[in-house]
Order: sequence, then structure tokens, then C-alpha cells
Amino acid sequence: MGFLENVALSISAEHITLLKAIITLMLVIHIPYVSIVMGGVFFSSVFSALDKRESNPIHLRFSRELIELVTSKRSAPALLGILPLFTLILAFSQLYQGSGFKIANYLLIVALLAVAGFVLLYFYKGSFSNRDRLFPLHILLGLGAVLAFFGGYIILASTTSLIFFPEKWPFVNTPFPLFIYENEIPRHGMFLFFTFALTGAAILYFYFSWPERKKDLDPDYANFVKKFAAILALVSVLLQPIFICWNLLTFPDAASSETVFAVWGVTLFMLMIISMFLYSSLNSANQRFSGVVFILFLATFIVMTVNDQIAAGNANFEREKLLAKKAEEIHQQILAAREGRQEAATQVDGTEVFNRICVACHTFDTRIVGPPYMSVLPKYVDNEDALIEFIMNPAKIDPDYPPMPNQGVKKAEATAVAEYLMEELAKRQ
Amino acid sequence: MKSRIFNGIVFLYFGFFAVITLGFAVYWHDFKKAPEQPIDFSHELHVGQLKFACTLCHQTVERAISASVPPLSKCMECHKAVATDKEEVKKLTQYWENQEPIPWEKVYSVPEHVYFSHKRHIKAGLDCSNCHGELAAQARVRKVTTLKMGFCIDCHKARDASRDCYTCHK
Repeated sequence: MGFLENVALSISAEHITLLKAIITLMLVIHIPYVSIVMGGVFFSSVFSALDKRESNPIHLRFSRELIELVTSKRSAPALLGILPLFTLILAFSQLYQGSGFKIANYLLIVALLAVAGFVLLYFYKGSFSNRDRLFPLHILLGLGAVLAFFGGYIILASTTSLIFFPEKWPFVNTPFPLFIYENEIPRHGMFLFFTFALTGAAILYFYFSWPERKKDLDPDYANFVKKFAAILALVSVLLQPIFICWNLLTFPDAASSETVFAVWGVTLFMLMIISMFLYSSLNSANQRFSGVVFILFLATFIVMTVNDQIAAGNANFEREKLLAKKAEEIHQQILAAREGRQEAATQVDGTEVFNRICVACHTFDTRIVGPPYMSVLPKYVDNEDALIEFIMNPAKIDPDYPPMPNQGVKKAEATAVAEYLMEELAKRQ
Repeated sequence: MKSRIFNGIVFLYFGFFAVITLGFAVYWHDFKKAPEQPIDFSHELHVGQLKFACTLCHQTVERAISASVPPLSKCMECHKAVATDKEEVKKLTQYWENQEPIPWEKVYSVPEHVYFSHKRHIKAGLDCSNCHGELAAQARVRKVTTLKMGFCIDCHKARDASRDCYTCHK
């Protein structure tokens, strides 16, 4: 994936903001969807296996319906699954260009595993028709999908966590950035239990609040689904604060800020509200809160994703600033070339440049910071190009003086001021 | 009633973790955030814009264990005349006139049991940014690397440098 770095465009501060917005949007679209798919195929496989061990029509029905639920929209795997992943690869390649962080390589592995996961998921769904005859193959397909998805997204969790540790980037030489540093484990935990929590919330929503839901649920089955989904979501939500604090314990100082901590506080508050709603859902026949819980989960994920982007910005503050600066320099060069400024060198007023820049450190006769011109200019008589070159790229020459800083003057300005200086020298000699 | 008891427990449970989060925030703010300095010296201006080499001010970095903070006289070589109207340069001049050292807050340090020589690392071809990040973009210096043992070991491994305990723990 090195070619993505080679074709990376210079990005201005505005482009960096845009790329971050795209990354946030893609993560917000992709992760909740894929979390529900992962949770769906995992619990479908579990209940299918449970039914095989001890026949239970409720388990079998739930297993089948779960997989139908996560595959109900045919375009979803492409639009919400694969497309955002490849957009993320492109956006991250641009944002982390020249950094030595092989993020595109890691995300490509995630994308390949996700594609494999979706393929196996549909085969697993198809295998329900021959489940009794070919049960080992059926369960193997389910397990394969689970492994592909969970393997891929554990790598994604590690990769997005590695963003906060630029100091590690040059030293990661494995194709899978796994188990390299201590912050990964809490991030895996957060991701895993978020997946289960959202799956539970989604089941509650799609069974009890969705306008297109099945309305012919018998009470036993409805009670089983409600209890399973609410307990799954509730337990997973209650585990989140442990991983959040563990994450903060291992979080790099350079990625932290007051805002990051404040947003984690907000996240905890939102999770608390969700768990209260979930408990209410668990103990009530009326599932009027399931829609609210689902929306709150999505909102919490958006908050967490935005927080991660803020932290990534903190960790990479200087690199992003230099990227933007480089882009600005290129932009200015393009503008200068386009407007023909270089050809207009003679129109720049050398006296004005001298009074604006040089006069702070130089006079003709006495030392201020730099040497008096009368002592240094004579060597440039008949060699004005060397003086122009020195003005544009100064270097330390005389050990008795501090080096002249680069003033960032343009060629036209350097030419004009060199002309002015040589004229003044001639007058004074 | 059961719901109220549950909500109370949940409130205490999340409150407990919120307090821990607040504790982390306070600790970070007091001990880990980029410290305020007596003079708002900008590396971004001096290194990023004016393109000064690090060794211009940190003169012992190539020949001693410590990189050394530049003496006031070094700053005054230029600032006797340059930017004298700026508030921060006025503060600098005040220290110079009072013949007082500037009480800079240290940003990077290694524990006492670690022997670290700037000279050896510069000789090995390391760039200052390997440990100190892109100072050319830092208006106020902040610690961008952990300087934990793992950080040192990663680099020693990658460069095939000695990993003998005695190298760093004399």
C-alpha cells in the first residue's frame, strides 16, 4: 500500500479538518452497523449450537431471525460495510502521509477480513436450509464469520489506538499491530462490549419498536428476546466504565487534554442514562424505551468517536501543523508562479524590504546584532548572485556573530534588496 | 421501588468511575500537561520560522551528557536589538539586567537511575526530533514521547544498539 503514500497530496489545514470529518463520518456509519452484524452472527451461532445440544425451538427461531435481521438489507454490506472501510483507508493514508505509520496496510487487512466475514455470513445464512443434514459445516461457517469479523475489528481497534502513540510507529514491523502496548487491551474491551451492548439494543429496537417489526410474537418468545437483549446490553454497558478508566490509565499524556477528559465524563453520563433505561426495559412489559436506548447508543458512539479524533489531533498536533505549513508553502509557490511575481522582481522596492526586515539587525557602519554592511558587502561586488543566495539561505560565517536567521524572503525581494545594498555601498565607498 | 434502588446503585457506580476520571484529569493537568514557562519562548518561531539549528542554543548537546539550556547571554546576543518591544523580550531583558537565571520548568527528564548521554545519541546519528518531536511546530514545549523504558528499548533494538542493562543503568 506504499503507493497510497506516493500519490498523497499535500494537505492544508482545511483539508486536514475535512479528512477528519470524513473519518469520523465513516466510523460513525461503519462501526455501529458492523457491530450489530458481528453480535448478530456471534449469538446466532451460539443459539444454533445450543439448539443442537438440547433442542429448543425458541433458540433455533432466535438464531435464524438474528441472521435474517442482520442481512435484511442486501445493499447494507456494500454501503455500510465495505465502502466506508475503503474510504477510511484513503482518508487515513492522506492524513498520515510521510509519517511512517503503516495504517493503510493494517486497514487493508481489516477490509479483507471484513469481506471474508460478509461472504461467510451469507453462506452461513444459506446453510440454515440444510442445517440438520450438514450441521458441522453450518456451524463452521458461522464460526468462520465470527473469527473473520472479530479478528479484523480487533486489528482495527489496535490500529486506531496506535494513532495515539506516534513514538511507536517507526518500530512496528509486524503486519498485525497487535499486543504491542498496554493501551490496546482496554480498547479491545471497550470495542468488544460496545459491540455486545449495541447488539442487545438493536435487538430490542428491531423486535419491539421498529415500524416494520414482526407483530405476531408469542409472549414466551417475546419475553425471551427481551430478557436476553436487555441483559446483554445492560451487562455490557456496566462493564464499559471499567475499560474506560483502564484506557485512561494507559492513555498517552500527549494525546490527552481537558476536552478529552470532559468528553469521557459525558460518555459515562450517557452510559448511566442508557443503563437506567435498559433496566426499565427489562422490568417492563412495555418496550417504549427501546428506540430511545438505540438512539442513545448511537449518540454515545458518535461522542466517543469525536473524542478519539480530538485525542488523535492532540497526539499528532505538530505533525499536522507541519503538513499544513508545507501545503501552504506549495500553495504560495503556485500562486507566485501563476501571478508571475518572479518576473516582477524589479517592481519590488529594495528600500522598503531593507527598512522592513534588515534594519532590525544591520546598519552600514556599526554592529547591532549582525555585522556592519561596510565590512561584509565588499566581497559581493561583481557577485550579486551570491549575495542574493545568502539572503535567501543564510548560513553562519563569522563566529563572532550569531547566525542570520532565514527571513523567508522571496527571490524578487532578495534581488531588490541586494540591488539596494550594492547601490548604497557604492555611494558610501 | 426496585427501579429506584437500581438507579441509585447505578448512579453510585458511574459516579465512582466519574470521580476516577476526574482524578486522572487533575493528575494530568497538574503533572503531565505542558508546563507554563516564565517566558513564553517559542521554538516554532526560532526553529520553525527562523530556521535556527538546535545546536545554536543547546551548545553542549554534541559534546556532553546534557544538552544544556542556553545562558541568558546567548539570548541577548540578538535580543539586545531584536524585538525589544515584545513583552516576552522585555521579561528576558529584566532577567538579564537583574543578573538572574530564568527559572525554566523542565519538560523532559529521565529518572535518576537512568544514564542518558545526549552526546552519544547525537553521534549515533539521531535527530533531536526522535525524542523531542517536531519542536519546529511547538509554540510551547510539551513532552510528546513517554521516555519510558519501552521507548528506549524499541529504538535500541531497531538500531542494533546495546541492550546491556549496564549501558543505561550505571
